[in-house]
Amino acid sequence: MIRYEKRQLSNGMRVIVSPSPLTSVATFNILYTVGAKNEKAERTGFAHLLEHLMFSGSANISDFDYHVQKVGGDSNAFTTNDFTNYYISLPADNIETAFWLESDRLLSPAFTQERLDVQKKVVVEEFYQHYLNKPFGDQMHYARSLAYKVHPYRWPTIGLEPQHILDATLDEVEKFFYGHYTPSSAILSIVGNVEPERMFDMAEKWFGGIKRDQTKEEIAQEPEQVEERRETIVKDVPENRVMKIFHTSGRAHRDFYLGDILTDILADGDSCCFNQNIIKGTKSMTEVNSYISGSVDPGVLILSGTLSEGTSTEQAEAELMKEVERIAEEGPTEYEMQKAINRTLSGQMIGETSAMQIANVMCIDEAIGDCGQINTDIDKYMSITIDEVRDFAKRTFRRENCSTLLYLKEEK
Amino acid sequence: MMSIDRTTPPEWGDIKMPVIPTFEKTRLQNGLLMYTMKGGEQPVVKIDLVVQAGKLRCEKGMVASATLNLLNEGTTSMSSKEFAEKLEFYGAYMWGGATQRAANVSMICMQKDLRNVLDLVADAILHPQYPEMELEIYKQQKLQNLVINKMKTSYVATTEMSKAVYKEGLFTRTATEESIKALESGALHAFHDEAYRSTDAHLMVFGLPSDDDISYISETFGKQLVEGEKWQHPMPEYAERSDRRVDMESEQTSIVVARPLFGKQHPDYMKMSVLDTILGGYIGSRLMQNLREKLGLTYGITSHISSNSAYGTHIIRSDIKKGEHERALDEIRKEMKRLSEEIVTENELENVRNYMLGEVLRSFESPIASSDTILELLVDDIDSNTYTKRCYDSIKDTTPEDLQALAKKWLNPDEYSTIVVGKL
Repeated sequence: MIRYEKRQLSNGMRVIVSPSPLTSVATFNILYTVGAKNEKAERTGFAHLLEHLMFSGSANISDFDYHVQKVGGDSNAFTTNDFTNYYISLPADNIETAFWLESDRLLSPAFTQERLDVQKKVVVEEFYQHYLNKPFGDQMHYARSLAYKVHPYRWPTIGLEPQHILDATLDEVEKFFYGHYTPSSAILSIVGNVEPERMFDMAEKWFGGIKRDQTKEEIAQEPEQVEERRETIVKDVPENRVMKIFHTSGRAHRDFYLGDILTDILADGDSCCFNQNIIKGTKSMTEVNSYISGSVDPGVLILSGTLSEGTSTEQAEAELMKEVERIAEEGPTEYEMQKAINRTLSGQMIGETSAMQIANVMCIDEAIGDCGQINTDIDKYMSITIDEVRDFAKRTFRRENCSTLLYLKEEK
Repeated sequence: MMSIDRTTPPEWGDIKMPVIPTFEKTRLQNGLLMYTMKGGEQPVVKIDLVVQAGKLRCEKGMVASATLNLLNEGTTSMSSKEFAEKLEFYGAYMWGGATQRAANVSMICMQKDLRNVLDLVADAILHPQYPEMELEIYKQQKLQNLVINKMKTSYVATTEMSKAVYKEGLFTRTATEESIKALESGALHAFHDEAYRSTDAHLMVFGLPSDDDISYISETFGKQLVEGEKWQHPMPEYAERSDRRVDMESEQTSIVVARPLFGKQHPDYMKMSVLDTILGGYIGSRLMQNLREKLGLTYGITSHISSNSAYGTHIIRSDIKKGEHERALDEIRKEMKRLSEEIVTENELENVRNYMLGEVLRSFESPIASSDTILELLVDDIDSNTYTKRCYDSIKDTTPEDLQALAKKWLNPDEYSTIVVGKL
């Protein structure tokens, strides 16, 4: 059970404090409800580029990192399709420095053409390092473009191509920042050896005076997929991979929990059915995976596999579908359900130990509804029935709801 | 609206020495040392057994890691599937990790299930079966991974680095198709007999075990491991400095600049870590500021000292924009030289000092983080209390003059090997 207190400042910013007296450090985590899904189709990768620029200093502070380090802190950030998240981990006694730094860059960051030019180069190198300079690095680029035709989830946070990043202008950067980084799009959580009232006072002191409205914008929602999609990519890769993508709900819907448990039954642990029946059973694949994206807007559930030498893609697809069809018809066994629930329960107890993780999860939970979910999620998992999972599988694993990506090696 | 002064930083205080949690040290009936650290808020128990089963102990390549990774693939009394079903029904986890010198087998479970889970895990650690089918699947997976890895410039650069630093032999071995294909259960059993049954090991218990649990753990490991001789770690022989180039298709170029260095017990180690951090050990480092923030040549560049207690290497590495590796190497050399030619300012040093003291504090930020830190040192036969104190004091005491002297002694670019992998 995580103890916490929550307040909303007069400007709309939400603040969560979880005191933990057993530590001498604190994590200061600030999440903005802006991500790659807020980008325009011709400027993909923009939210992430902006995240880089946020470390360029601000009106009253020339060097952000310098001041973090000076008080013994460490800081970093990441961008997803839904969110941009910044954190500072520092000695709890020096927490006010984090308020000073984060509020100043929300108030007025120092964007310059020179900084933008350098960060474009840095982000393009990140693009190459993580997505282009290794086999299958761009697999999710193809997968997203196939499964989403309208929603901005059709591109990954790094962007569709390096050119989009190079095309960004300083004017666009400022517009995007001032329209999306506002007190009402910010959720702050502080986890560590801190006193909640004092934190709320500091939040009001440093952030309370910042007033700015969020740009209202409609994000194009994905229409229901009505026919099966297939795509085959052939590249210089050493093995063949299959990915089957099914549309499902967003993170706040009950279906998320059903999908999460179902993908655990399929692919989590050594005893899961993919491992026992495919990797060790027919041996047609050497790696098999399944997971649900858990995005804010309706997401996807993915089945994927790496084929053994000699396995046809038809056979691999059929074997993946055989397992999910069994669950769609008969439902998981009582034993399978119990095992998945047990693992979720223990996973939560074991995983809840890092302050940084707690701080981030609480912000995300708050963004999709209520940060108290960190404590109540487990009840939702415990209440799942076999019939619900069967029904979910039946609704989800339909041919016309499926996009299949074959990523194959060139015949030499 | 309150008027606040945003131009002056808020008050802040010195970074304190972390409180290192106390742990009990017990010698079990067979001589095995057990460390018990009670802590955490959740009713869970984590157990780590560290055995002298690192990669260097085995003549045949790949055997040490296969022996470890296949422990959970069935025991003399249970199939792989039975084992996985039971362990996972309890919501428990078992995993392994290996360094060059040691291997750890770890488990975590809810306190209420401890006895049952420990029975399973101890069976896996002590009586593995290494069945043919599971070994065959493991080999296939390793072969596929190897093919993928060989297409990555960063992987190739790492293997080239060990050849540049060490004389050919035990220390330069990497995974090869032949060594994977040659794996057979006889060799795994032989290595297991040699390295996994001996009390030349450490046992660490963390979490909220009951007194009965402690007795049960003591009983299990205190009886089943047998007293063995202490394994003598081999020491490396170093190669002559060299420049290695590998031409392969790529979108970026991986570079490494490296030299042999010393272990954590060397008198220069602590202050050298400060110098290394200034050079490339944190986000504000000289290399990051120059190659990333000024020139935009890379997404990231790091330097670090990779050491155990007895020996180590100093490694600078990065993935660089295609065609720019010579320029990057020049800039790296320039930054190395600058540290011996110009004295570091007190301002920069203070910043790095505080950042590093914060890192020391963070490594003990929670009970579980503390147990991980203590374990990591224990694996290397280092006492966490004295080591952390020494670390904290040395960082605080380091002067600009110390750093310049160390840079002259150890940071001469002419003594480093360079590795470049990519489209040349």
